[in-house]
Amino acid sequence: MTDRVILRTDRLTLRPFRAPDFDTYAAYYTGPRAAFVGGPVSRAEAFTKFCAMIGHWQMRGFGRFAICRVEDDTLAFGHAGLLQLDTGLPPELTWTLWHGEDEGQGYAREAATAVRDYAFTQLGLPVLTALVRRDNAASLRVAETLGGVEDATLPTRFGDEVAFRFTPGTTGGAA
Amino acid sequence: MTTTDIPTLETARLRLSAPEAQDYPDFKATFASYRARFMGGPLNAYETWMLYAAEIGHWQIRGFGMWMVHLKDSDETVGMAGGWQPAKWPEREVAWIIWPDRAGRGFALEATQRVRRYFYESCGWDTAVSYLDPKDLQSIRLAERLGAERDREAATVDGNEVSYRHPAPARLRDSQLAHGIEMEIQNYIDPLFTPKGWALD
Repeated sequence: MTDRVILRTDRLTLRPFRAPDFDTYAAYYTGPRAAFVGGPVSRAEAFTKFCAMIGHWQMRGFGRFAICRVEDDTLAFGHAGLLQLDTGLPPELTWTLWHGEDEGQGYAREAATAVRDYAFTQLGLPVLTALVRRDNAASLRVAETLGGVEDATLPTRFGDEVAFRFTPGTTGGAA
Repeated sequence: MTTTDIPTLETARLRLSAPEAQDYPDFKATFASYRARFMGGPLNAYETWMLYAAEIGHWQIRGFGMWMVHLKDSDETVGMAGGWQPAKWPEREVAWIIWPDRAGRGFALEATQRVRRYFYESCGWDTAVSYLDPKDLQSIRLAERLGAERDREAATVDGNEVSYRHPAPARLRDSQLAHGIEMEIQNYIDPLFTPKGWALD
């Protein structure tokens, strides 16, 4: 089991989820920002998704992390990590900030970069993908900065999405 | 809590252990089937996967959850039983699901009786409910065999289920009810089983 992995960057601690993170997560997923990821959903559905992020570690050996600032790792404000629902497809690199006011400071890029490097170096994964809605300008920039290459052959999930492919040669994204 | 913290429970025929990745195909088959019609199913592939992963995560968030039920002799899985309290659940629920092709052999009774005892004796619960679909007569019958009674005062999840209240811990200690449940389980294990003592009539 690899469910106790912690990643650290200059400004961020990426740690396993804890029960107290749920309220903030649920507020995000029941709110308008979740429109980019198939939401908003009910609080009950958010609970299933939250528990499933934890169970994902056991099913796949990797998963999503809670994003915290290094100063205070009790206060999560986003999640980033790897998602693989279908083993026939490469794992997805995901990043999400729960509050609009945390955008524009490079947090998502910093978190996603750490996850990407962990996936390629520690897990030895050969390829990652990312799905970003075409109207989600902030996340499109993150995907491009991290070296994502648009790949129209990859399946998308929610409406009008751009699929990116990442390979270990990828550089960029350093905070 | 990691999976190593989830205790393993045993009964005469069953071993209850943490849900693992390799148990997923059986879960998926059941929740994609008509068997799941009283539990929000049948579910599609995405919903099934998310629910299974959530079953695992529930243990960490709540400190209790659903066990995978294995047969001790062959190790095959026959279903799940345990506690369940997602968001919006008014109370902690005792829940069970047996794979459709393993039903009818008393596994749900034996497993649920064991998990309820664990919650009462090891987790300090003093009550529990089961939220049942009023059309799910099999589950209502099982709740009644376990001594649960319809609780019209108890809140339900969304008004579409009925709440069955499980007997309090004291009512399951050396009581006629407790002995009756044990005898019924024994009867599944050995259909020729006859209780000790003489008929009085």
